[in-house]
Amino acid sequence: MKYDQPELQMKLAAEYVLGTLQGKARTRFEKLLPQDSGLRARVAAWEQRMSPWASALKPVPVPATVWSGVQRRLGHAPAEKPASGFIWWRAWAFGSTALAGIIILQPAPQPQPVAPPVVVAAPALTDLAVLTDKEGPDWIVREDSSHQKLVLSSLGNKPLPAGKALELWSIPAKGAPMSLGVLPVQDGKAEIALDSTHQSRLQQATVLAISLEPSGGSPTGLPTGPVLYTGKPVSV
Amino acid sequence: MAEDLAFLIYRTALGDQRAFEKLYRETSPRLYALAMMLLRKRDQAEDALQEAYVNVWHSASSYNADKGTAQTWLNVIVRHRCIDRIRREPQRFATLDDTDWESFEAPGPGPLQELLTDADAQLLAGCMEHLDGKQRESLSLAFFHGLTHSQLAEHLSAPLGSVKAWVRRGLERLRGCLHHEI
Repeated sequence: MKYDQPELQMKLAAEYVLGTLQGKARTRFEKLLPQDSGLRARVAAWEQRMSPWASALKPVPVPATVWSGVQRRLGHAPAEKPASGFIWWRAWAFGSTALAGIIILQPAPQPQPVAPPVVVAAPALTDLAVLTDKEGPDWIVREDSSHQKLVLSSLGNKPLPAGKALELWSIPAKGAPMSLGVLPVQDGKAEIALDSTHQSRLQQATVLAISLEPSGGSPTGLPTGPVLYTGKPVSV
Repeated sequence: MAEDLAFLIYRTALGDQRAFEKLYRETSPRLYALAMMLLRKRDQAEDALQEAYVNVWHSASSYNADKGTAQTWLNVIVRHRCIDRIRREPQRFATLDDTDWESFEAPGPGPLQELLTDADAQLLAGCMEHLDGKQRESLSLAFFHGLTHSQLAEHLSAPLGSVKAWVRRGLERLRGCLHHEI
């Protein structure tokens, strides 16, 4: 079968998402997906199209055993159950200034990337983005509540080649990357002061990126070295 | 809300168990309804839901907000888990009138719009209303109950060829109605 015909691709993607593509045809289609970005885009479009349907269902309370089963399968310790636990969860919301200063990366009891405990003093910080490289999430970018500085911390804390520096960039929807400054990294952490120029650059960012530059930063005003980390800012 | 879920997924990718639990608390009731709708058996739906969240934990770093909403990403994971189960048990459809099923309600054939607040969902529901009855019923049964072409033919007492055409044309009209390019 020729899979490169647009109409056929559309039909297969639609029936794959609907679930009516079955048996060998489904298996063959799934093998093609990793190699064909066009096909993946069609599948993603159909998933997005049909998703509201799935979300239209009336929520049903889930038996508590399901969550304990998930924790057991993952080897996570069951959460302690303080009387205030439920209220704590309700209060905890992204952007909650009261709690935004509390960093909730808990070391887990099993091998997995464990974040160094990060202590952040007041004022509260708002999470802005998680920048990843090909190995996964690495830099967490936070902004203080008065928009005066960015606070970055690295989970990987990877060593930097001698004579090199990391530079943070705001990449707007249109136009060239704009520098937000060289990161003065120490122990996997860095802070950058934001003046009004930087604040405006930050507001235009559709992506934040960190590139490897000569120490002192890019000599040209544009990234000259490889882009090591990227991530989309979370709009608050 | 959508931003919050994406954020919780990013946190989960970092190994943050509390964010993962929060994600679970926020999203599992709706996904449980979806799994229940597809699998019809409580124990099966609960198992599939567990598998799905184990999968979410392990693959959270592959979530890409550019490719779709967090809710879509979660819906897809759960549907895949359920469809896999359904396909492994071809006889499952014989149990359509399970008692477990009775306490759950699918969106009926009537106007879905009333149920939906989300603009995308309203658009989809509106487009569904424009399909022929058979097309709508076929798509709905396939989507919510995981019926295959031949099961649809059996359930609707129609020739296989007709059922395949209803599904195909229904999907084409849906795409046209939603004005999407691909």
